[in-house]
Amino acid sequence: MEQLAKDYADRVHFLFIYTREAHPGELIPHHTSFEQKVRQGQMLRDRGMNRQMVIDNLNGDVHRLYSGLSNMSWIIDHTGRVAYKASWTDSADIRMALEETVTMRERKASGGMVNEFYREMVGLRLIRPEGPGMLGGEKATEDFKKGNAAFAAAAKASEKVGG
Amino acid sequence: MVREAEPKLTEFLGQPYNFIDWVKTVSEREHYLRNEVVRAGEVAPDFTLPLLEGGELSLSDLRGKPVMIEFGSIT
Repeated sequence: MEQLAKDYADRVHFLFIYTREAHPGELIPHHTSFEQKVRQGQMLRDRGMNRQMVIDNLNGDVHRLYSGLSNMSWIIDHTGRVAYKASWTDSADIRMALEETVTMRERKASGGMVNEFYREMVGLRLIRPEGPGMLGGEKATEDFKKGNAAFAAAAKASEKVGG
Repeated sequence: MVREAEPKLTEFLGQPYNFIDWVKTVSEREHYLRNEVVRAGEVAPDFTLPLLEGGELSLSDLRGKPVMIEFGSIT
């Protein structure tokens, strides 16, 4: 995502909303105060997250307003309307959506006739059942493995596209 | 049209986290994302939040340029 932000820096505003920790553990705990949340947001900055960052409140009001999923992506067009929303952040998918949003706006501004069409697409991604080695610590890693096993079982039992 | 914020979702955020419990809420949240929060083509709900480096930012301040928003954390 950082590369994408660099590539579109002059045409798109990139905003990161720091939410509750997705996989806290003994090393990076869940937030119990807003001050702690700000400190951990700074840790993310120190790890190389260069996009503009805002901190959601301790109750996660904005996160919840937008559905509360742990790593969602949204693209809002220049008029404030939702151009794209996804329950997961996939940089290749977002690049495609941004390119269309930006290019079509430019075409329209230069006199082109642009029309909307509706589409839906189920996104598919690989998950690592062994867990990625969580930054939060061993507790987070163990928790992730158990949770992913439950995810995998649900996917196998479902008739979803990726099941 | 902006809809009410998740009136039916399980109260979970803000509590000590456990991924296994989180998994139980995912389908409910995805349903909300797909069907109940604003749909593509509608105006995104405005918000105002503090910037990490100080000051505040509202989504509506950014009109005039596309905005790519990612929600996330360190872990």
